[in-house]
Amino acid sequence: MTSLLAEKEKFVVPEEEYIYQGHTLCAGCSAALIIRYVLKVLGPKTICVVPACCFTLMSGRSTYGRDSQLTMPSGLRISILNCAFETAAVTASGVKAGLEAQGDYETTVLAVAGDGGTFDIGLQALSGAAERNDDIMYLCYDNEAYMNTGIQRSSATPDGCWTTTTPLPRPKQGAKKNIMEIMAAHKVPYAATATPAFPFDLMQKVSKAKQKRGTRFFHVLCPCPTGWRFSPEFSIKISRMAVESKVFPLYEIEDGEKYTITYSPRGVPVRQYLELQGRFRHLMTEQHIARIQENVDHHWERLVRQVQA
Amino acid sequence: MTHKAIFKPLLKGIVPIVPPIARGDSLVNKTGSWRYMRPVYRNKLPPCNHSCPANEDIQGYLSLIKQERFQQAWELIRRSNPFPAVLGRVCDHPCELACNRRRFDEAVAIHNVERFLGDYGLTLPGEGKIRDRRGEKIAVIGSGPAGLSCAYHLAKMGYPVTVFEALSVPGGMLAVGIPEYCLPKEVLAAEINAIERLGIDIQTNVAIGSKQSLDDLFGQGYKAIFIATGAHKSMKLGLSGEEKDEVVDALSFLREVNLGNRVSVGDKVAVIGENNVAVNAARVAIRLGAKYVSIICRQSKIDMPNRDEEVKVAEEEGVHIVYLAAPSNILGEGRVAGLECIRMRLAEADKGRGARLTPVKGSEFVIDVDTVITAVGRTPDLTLINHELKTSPQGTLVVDAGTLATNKPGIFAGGDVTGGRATVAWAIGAGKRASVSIDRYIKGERLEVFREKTPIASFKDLNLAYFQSSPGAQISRLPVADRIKGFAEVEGGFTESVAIEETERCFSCGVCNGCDNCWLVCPDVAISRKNGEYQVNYDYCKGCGLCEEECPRGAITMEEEAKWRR
Amino acid sequence: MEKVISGNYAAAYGAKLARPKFIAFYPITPQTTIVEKLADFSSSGELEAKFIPVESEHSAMAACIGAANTGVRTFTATSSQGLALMHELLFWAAGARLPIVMSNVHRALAPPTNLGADQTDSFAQRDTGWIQLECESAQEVLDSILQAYRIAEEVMLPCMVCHDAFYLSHTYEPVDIPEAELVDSYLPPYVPPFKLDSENRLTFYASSTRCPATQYEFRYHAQQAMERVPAVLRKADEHFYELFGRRYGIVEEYYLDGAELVIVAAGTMVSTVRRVVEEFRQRGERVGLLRIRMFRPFPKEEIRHLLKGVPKVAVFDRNISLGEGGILSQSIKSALYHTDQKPVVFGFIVGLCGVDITQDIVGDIVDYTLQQDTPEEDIIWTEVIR
Ligand SMILES: Cc1cc2nc3c(=O)[nH]c(=O)nc-3n(C[C@H](O)[C@H](O)[C@H](O)COP(=O)(O)OP(=O)(O)OC[C@H]3O[C@@H](n4cnc5c(N)ncnc54)[C@H](O)[C@@H]3O)c2cc1C
Ligand SMILES: Cc1ncc(C[n+]2csc(CCOP(=O)(O)OP(=O)(O)O)c2C)c(N)n1
Ligand SMILES: [Mg+2]
Repeated sequence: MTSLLAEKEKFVVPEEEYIYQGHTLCAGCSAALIIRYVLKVLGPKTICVVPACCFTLMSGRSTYGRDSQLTMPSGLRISILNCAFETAAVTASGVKAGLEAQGDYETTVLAVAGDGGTFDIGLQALSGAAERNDDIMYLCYDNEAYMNTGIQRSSATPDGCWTTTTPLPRPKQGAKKNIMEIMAAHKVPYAATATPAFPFDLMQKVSKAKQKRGTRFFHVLCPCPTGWRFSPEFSIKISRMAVESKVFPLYEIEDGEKYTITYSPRGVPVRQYLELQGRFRHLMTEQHIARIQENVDHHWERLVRQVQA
Repeated sequence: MTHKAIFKPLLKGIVPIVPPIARGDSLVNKTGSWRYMRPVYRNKLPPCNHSCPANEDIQGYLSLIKQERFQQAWELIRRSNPFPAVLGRVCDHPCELACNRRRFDEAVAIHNVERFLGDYGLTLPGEGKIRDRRGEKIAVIGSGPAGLSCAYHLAKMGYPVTVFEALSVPGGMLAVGIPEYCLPKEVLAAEINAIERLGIDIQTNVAIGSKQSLDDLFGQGYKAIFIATGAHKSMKLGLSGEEKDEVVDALSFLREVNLGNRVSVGDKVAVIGENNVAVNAARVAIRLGAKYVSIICRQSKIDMPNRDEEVKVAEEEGVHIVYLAAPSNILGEGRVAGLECIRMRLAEADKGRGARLTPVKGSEFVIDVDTVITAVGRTPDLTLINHELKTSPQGTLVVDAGTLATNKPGIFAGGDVTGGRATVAWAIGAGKRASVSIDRYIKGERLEVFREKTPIASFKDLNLAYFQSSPGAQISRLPVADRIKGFAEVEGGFTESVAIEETERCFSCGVCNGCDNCWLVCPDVAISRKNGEYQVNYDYCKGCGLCEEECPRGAITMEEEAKWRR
Repeated sequence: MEKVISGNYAAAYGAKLARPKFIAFYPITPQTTIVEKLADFSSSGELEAKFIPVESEHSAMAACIGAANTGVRTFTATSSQGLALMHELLFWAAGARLPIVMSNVHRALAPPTNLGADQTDSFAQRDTGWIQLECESAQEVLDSILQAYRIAEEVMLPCMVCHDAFYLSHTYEPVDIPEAELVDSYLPPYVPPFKLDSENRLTFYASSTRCPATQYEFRYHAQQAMERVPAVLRKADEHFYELFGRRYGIVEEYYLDGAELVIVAAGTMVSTVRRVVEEFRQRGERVGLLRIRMFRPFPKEEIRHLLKGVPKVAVFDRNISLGEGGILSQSIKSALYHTDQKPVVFGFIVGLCGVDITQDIVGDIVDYTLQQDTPEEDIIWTEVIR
């Protein structure tokens, strides 16, 4: 296991903050952390494109009066463009093209979308942008359900998981969509997974992606205290356990072909990941856990083969 | 008639373009109002510090060494211990037993780092004489670690101190007990000199009680007395033949060797005892040329907590240990011609220390020896000291555990003379505690000091995800052949780089060491830092608790908001 | 320079001359030749715009919104299903006050699949906040696109320029293609009042759920902007006339003097109606024509003014709002509600889904209307040629 604090010495965390205090994402929200890390690397020459999702709470929602437009409070120190739910990628493409048409080739256009906006309703737009290799960065913070609308299942919801639309006794059936493989199939120049528990890994990947052009994709696991049913202080612990248990490996894919695992997990039993979360409480039987473990192992082995290939 | 519900445009005819675009920032949202728990930076007591009988801020100096701030580290350790080079060699280091890292991989090698720091200190010019700022003279009886530690701290406070020492050399057991291969004379001398240089008057060859009594000292104007006369009386075996010339007690034996007097031993030496003193006597005997040295140990184990390795080291040097055996008879007419022993059996299943032992009838056997060294315990020799002081049945002085006050006002006692742990560290700690009490006594203050209880940083307070397993650094030892030739120091110390590397292993349990993790994991950017100090901005902190949960060392506590308290 | 080109090509030329910096598109018959032509312009370098072939009309509009936010002139084109797919984003574009110009080729909505002309596609988008112009000729398509940018960029609302499938989209007519320099003087580069960039930190379209009053105000302002359109259009039209010698107005009056019956129509059928009106006038029948060029904002003032005292009005709707009737006729009726001397309004559903509207049919409808005192039905369906 690499020590997180030791990692820190290898990567100098930029001092600058691009998120403001007072944003209205939930206490302990991983998405806030993720964007904090990402923007530290991307810096001020960045525009954020945000579709409908919890992250819109970053761009403010408090009350304001007649001269309102001047005081509407945003949590980011960069410009935000809110867009329709299913259009994050293509809106970003449009913004990028608009900037380039005016000679700005430098600004990073970063789409920040949830799993619903990425795996489901926004997949078409994402696929389009990826196929055209539009010069955008796309960050999917995956909280494994439609959280903004109140914890409904998405195609990123894991097998066996409770949500409000997959209530017990029939929790979500079937595995989560493999968005990374979908992106790899598009041969995008860069696709990477990350979690807020490994901030240096995340920031290093962002800084690598920043050097590249074309569609760069991030799949960031984003434990959600509200929707996953855990106390907010465990956000990071859970994302760490997701990695250590191989449920969510940290890796990157370059040009759709070159796979690299960026962190070797300790391989703790999945039970230790699952039992931290209320949404899996009903699964705590040997039989269920064995099945999940098998799937996790299977996917890990597959990933390892891809790395070796 | 006007209707409130009907809108009347303010700017008739002018149609501004008002797209839903904003410029404001979320600082207007005081999200701190969401919070019902608040994080507070509250250091816990690192277990090493807690366990240190000398009350050293171990975590503190490890951290300073890590930052290569050796001078400050040395100054810090000297705040509790004027003998770091000594203690870094002789301490039984309970800190390493308490070290949380022991449950992770291996304890931090604090003991050897301390020695590194002490040796570093020896290269410094040292502190100069301290001007007496107070008029009250203090008398310290005994120049062992307890006495000198007390004298040192009193001197630092500005008291003129006189130390009376019965022997010809200062240092107590450091000088006349602990062998030189473990504690070189020049190391001890250097640290004692540094203490003397503060202006302390050490009068050797003055045994209090023989010419001047405690009352005389008060009569001479001493306002308080600290008794630290140690435990120099050897206990007897209680066997016939004990008075033979070839039967010596370990304390006298070691004292003579340490004082540089000619001491000779036979070829075949038996040391009777099961402790540190016995092991030392045996190793010294080997160095004096004995061919066969055995330790006759009643127990199944030598009683040297946390220092098992030293038994192995002794065995390497040729010491043979006979476990579960007790001497029953010293044989020989005139000279010692052998030692008869009897086998012992643990009455119950081995329960370690203090298990009840019974002799096995008829199991006597004889060991061929010509010299017997006894090391079966030592007690204070209080014959010279005023008899009005309360003593325990074990013959030690009775003192208040906290203040070290005896039953007579103005008289304090500590170290081996009061029994207890009987270690150098403990004696040093006692010396410091006594100095504080004496200062309060002089100033007419209550002796008891109120100390807020700081919770100890336990293993489960740590977030182990942030630590990486790495074995502790090892020290070198002289080759056996070189060791037994004489009294050269056996153990080598850490080099600077090894010491620094070792301090990097410290978890800094319960003590913020400015690792920035809390700053980094705050989703609300509510933690700011300045020179390694952190501040929570409670206007915005939502109380999620991530900083506390993710603090690698448990230095943050979540507290209920006052407004939620009933 | 005059060229014989299709209505779609006219749209493409119009778009090219407007020098947009960004074009996103998705093909749909009968719009395809617009984007094909633009693609030609783009690959030959005549068109400098960023040219993005997106994966859906929804995305085409989203991309335009993205680009328009950065302050550049944008263009797209669609039709029917494509427009319907864009529906959600039409609200975004207008709500965001972005002067996007879009060409829409009127085509029927499925099922079943039908490529024929039908106004329902864009009329159904009437509440989205877009300015909508209806063209009669290829020339007007070109000219209207240029005017559309002028108007849209002045009031900061998006504008849709519509023309009928095939009757115009694929019909070749002589069209005067104005000189680029002249167009440039008519339509200078777009200077946005606000723009998204990384220099000035702004937040675009943050949630206002907690402060609905603000959004209520945004709606008020958008309506105010809509109300400015007629005047702005008139000015733009006049300027256009000065430079190019052509003008179209908000509505077009044709033989309205003393008319006893006025036909209200929009789109290519107007040309047919024109001929019929002429014939009736030659016979001494006092029939006139009112062409609606600007469908949104709806020209209520003009209608009230021009139809005041006219005994009968026949509205031709090549569209239907199922459950209500012809969209134009409903709007006309509602516009006239407060006037005295209200005409009797006959609402005809004609030529839906690409059914031809012939002179015979129009003539027959006129005849019928002249004879009837009041309509027999609220919605009058007409016979179709099979
Ligand atoms: C052989 C041996 C090895 C040891 N090894 C270790 C070890 O490795 N680590 C460890 O932690 N501990 C060790 N110890 C124990 C440790 O040395 C003592 O616990 C410690 O020295 C006690 O300190 P003190 O100041 O109380 O007494 P001492 O060190 O015994 O000092 C007391 C001093 O008082 C003097 N004195 C006595 N009576 C009078 C009087 N009437 N007037 C004036 N002066 C007087 C004595 O001469 C002596 O110098 C060892 C002890 C022995 C005997
Ligand atoms: C076209 C459309 N359909 C549905 C919605 C309602 N909606 C808003 S956010 C959301 C869920 C978003 O889920 P996800 O993308 O996973 O982001 P999260 O809220 O979980 O962060 C939904 C369904 C919408 N805004 N637009
Ligand atoms: Mg989600």
